[in-house]
Amino acid sequence: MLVLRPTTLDDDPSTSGEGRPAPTLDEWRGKTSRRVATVAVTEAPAPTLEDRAARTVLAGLRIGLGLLWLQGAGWKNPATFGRDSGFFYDFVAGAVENEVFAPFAWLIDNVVLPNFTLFAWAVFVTEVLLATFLLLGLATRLWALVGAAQSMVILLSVANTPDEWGWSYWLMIAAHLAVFATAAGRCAGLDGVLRPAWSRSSNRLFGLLVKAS
Amino acid sequence: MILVAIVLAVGIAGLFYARNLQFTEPEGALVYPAPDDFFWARQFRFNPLGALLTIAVGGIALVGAVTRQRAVTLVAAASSFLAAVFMVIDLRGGEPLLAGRGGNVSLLLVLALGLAALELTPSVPPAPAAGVA
Repeated sequence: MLVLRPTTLDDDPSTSGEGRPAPTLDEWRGKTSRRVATVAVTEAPAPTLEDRAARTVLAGLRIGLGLLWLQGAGWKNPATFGRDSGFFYDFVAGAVENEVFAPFAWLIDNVVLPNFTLFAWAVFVTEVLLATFLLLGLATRLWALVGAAQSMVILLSVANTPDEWGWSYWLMIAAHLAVFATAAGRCAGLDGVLRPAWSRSSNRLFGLLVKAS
Repeated sequence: MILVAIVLAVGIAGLFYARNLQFTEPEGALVYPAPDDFFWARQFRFNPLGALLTIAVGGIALVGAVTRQRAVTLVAAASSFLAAVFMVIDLRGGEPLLAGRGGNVSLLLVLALGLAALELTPSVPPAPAAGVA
């Protein structure tokens, strides 16, 4: 909020301080020795309770998603990637057995499973980075989109698997889109702390970070 | 400081839970063991070596934060990043030296990227005081 506040600058100490008579119109117009300045003061509105609550919830949502991916990366053991059977391999193979979307199932059966090690590493690295960036609140909007895409891949893989609740993956997608839409990294995250400096910099990397945050 | 505190806390907890293991036990021990379906399960896994490494990089970061030495903080960030890369390479083998998992890698990357972002971003000059228009 921009506030125009008149103030008086006067070199004569005898006329400064309390008890000074209110200036006349001529004095305001600068016809006396008293210099009057109009100062533009930018006053940020005090955060309302709703603002604080919203920011707290958004930060909690972002951190919660980060912890979700932290666990997702935690149970995948790279030492077993590429073996014909294993916990993660079984999940991926289930996309073919319990088909959700035919073209996706074809892709899994003909492209992913024959090259399982490569794709397993890609998933592992993606989930590690998702956890990292969402927990930090760094380049959050970019990684929220990545998280939504990863959640969609998981949905297409396991939504029809017995004992799975498909709605949970729709909720994951929705949560990531909410983090994207609200730029939740600006709430208690590094995006909020560093974005002003990035905006003022001419460095190309910082320009990209502004767009990603 | 928050990042450093979290990393040190997890590292120290890891050392506590791994205290009865061999120094380079490949399986490691879970921090705060819980049933597999509990949301906290399988986040971090340490053996004593992995825990000490985590505490070491956290300690360097703490020194940098307390002394406000940019060079020390950047060394901590680089060390943490290298530790994360080493842990990923280490995980390829069947018996990882540091016993970590993806959660451990992410923890180290949080410290590395967080410190690097904070130290390498130029500071914003303070807003100018009210002056004569």
